[in-house]
Amino acid sequence: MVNLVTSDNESFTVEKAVASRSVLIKNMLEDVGESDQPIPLPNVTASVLKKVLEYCDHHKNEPMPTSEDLAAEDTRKRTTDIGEWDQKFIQVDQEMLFEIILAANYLDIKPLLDVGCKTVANMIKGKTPEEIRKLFNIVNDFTPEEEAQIKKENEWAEDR
Amino acid sequence: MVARSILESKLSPKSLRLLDELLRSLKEPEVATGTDSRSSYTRAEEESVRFDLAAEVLLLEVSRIRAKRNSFSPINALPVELLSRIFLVGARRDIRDSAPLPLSSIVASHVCRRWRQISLSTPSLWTYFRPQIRAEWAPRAQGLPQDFLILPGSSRNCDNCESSLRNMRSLRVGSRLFRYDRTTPDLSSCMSFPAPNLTFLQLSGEGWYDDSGMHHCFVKLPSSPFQGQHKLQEVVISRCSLQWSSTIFSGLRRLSLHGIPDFYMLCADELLSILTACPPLEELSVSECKFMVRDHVPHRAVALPCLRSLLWDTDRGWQPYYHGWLRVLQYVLIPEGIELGLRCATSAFDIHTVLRENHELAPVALGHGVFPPIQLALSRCRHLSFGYPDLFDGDGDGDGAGYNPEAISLDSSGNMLKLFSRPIDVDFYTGTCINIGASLLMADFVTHLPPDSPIQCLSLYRARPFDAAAFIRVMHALPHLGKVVLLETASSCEDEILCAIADPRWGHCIEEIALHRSASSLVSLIHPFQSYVESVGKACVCQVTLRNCRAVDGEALAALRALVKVVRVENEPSAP
Repeated sequence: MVNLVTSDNESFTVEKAVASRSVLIKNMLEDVGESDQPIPLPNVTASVLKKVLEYCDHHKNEPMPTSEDLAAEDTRKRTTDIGEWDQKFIQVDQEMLFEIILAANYLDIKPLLDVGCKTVANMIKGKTPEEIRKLFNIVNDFTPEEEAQIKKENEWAEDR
Repeated sequence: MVARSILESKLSPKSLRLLDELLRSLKEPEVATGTDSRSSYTRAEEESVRFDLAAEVLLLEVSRIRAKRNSFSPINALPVELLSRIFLVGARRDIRDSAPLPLSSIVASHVCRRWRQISLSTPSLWTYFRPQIRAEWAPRAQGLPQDFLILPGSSRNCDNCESSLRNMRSLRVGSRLFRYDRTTPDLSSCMSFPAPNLTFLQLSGEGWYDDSGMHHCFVKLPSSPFQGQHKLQEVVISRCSLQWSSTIFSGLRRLSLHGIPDFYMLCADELLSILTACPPLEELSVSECKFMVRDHVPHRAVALPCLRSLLWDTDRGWQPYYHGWLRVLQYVLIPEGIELGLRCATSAFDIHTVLRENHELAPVALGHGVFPPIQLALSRCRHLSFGYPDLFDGDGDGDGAGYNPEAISLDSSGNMLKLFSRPIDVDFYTGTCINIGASLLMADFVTHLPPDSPIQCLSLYRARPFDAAAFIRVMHALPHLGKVVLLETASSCEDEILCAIADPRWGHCIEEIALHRSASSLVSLIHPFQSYVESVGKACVCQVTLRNCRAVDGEALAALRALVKVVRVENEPSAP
């Protein structure tokens, strides 16, 4: 078992196979060897780690992506398909979604990072810039010069 | 009047200075018209310039303040590399879907200043390249290998794109034949330059019908595509045909063939040659294709030891008498642990070969770690189904193919194998099948079953009364059978099968019987089950599931519940 301590000082004891879905934790465990010392995770809060561990537990028996898989993903099509379980898992509010993405990036859990990024990409898909602003609570902050350039780019696009 | 202290607390020093300047300008006395027109004009001009400048600076200030506000939006808590990763998902999707523009990247760059800054400084978002739009977006890729697209209907003329063609990493060409221009699409202009970074090629075509029949797309390639200088790893050919001996089919890791037109049918030996030239092949997907067999050409077995996925779906349309798919699958040998999906249409004649294959090739393959796909599919099968297709199901069974004599659909997805016999004749008034195809198939199948068959579930669909005997033979031959499913089965057939299950002389381990849309009132089920309990002293099965069995009344249900531990009734609402 592995003991993980979050930024808000909450402790989680999980199976090694679950914790090792995180490449960061896996490497730490390999470096430290067999030890009862808790692993501090200063960038992850308890509520986020709970979600991340739920994901890791569900996928604990799947093979870890190899560097070859990751390289292939770069050169080949990157699909936007998300598995059924993952889709349900990632149905959280925006704040939690971005926290999960940040945690997956920090903990180096590539498949979870992918699920998060694909989810946001799917939220953006087919929307206009104005709709995206509304969705993510963003305002148009372009300078008049930038607005003029964007207008020009839109004209290019309309011509096609 | 707003107090000065409030303004100081709310505005930045810069904005405050601007506001002061504006106020000073407003307080300056107006010059009387006509006194000194020249100096009045100059002052007005100066004032205008000053106000324009102030307005400009104010707008910049507004933009800065809004950008600051945007930084508090939760999505902008994501660092640059994660936002660009998200944008990349959309950019890749546009390329994969052959979108007319790199729309995802364009939209991302139009949302706010931060997003624009990130997207414009991420060259991988701009690798999308179409000859017609190269001027605007291509430079943003900053020399990265490009994803070259030629959309259906647009010009394939790439005369001025040499540098991009030499630098592409993927090429997607959509070809459309025009009704009055039946010339063969020639891809020489986009496939003649060396493309040392090219790893992906997709060629898609379209056909059309007219009075003279169906017209198909044959794509002409240069004799030495890319002058032999490419690193192709994945090729996708969809709804078009080409010279199958082309050097693009060499050393591939992924190959997908979809809807190759019947008119330019790919020969089984041609596909085997392609596979022979691709020993590192990891993924093979073949769908909606037919294969011709040239008996005068020798066929050689191909081992694909690196294959991780084989998806084979040739279950559509009228089946010709030569079943090339079987020839291909007879000569391909694949590793045991791969992802395997097989859906093939064959005939009663071929099924003998298919099943014989299972026995005869097994000893040949053993020891080499590779196996024929059909043998592998049969060894994985845990759920076996016989019967007849739904003639009123529009999905392939109710169309012309449904009346194809003695045609059998072999469907292996996951661990399920469906062997459906197409009816020889149909009573159009009742929609029932008039033949014994399923019986013949079951009788044949049972002779090929290994003694320790791992099949655990056996189903019978829309069976006729005379199909019961053959089904019972199959049941008896399956030592691990735990579940029997009967769907829309004729009452007398159902009765016979249930009596066989309730025969105390047969020591089976069936735990569940499921009846779907049974017309029986269950009386036939209760009597044999009652006798079994009296004879053996325990229930015949543990569970009976009744799905949409409308003829079952409460009394029969209560009687059944007294004999079986679990009785589940699942009724879907009736269609209006």
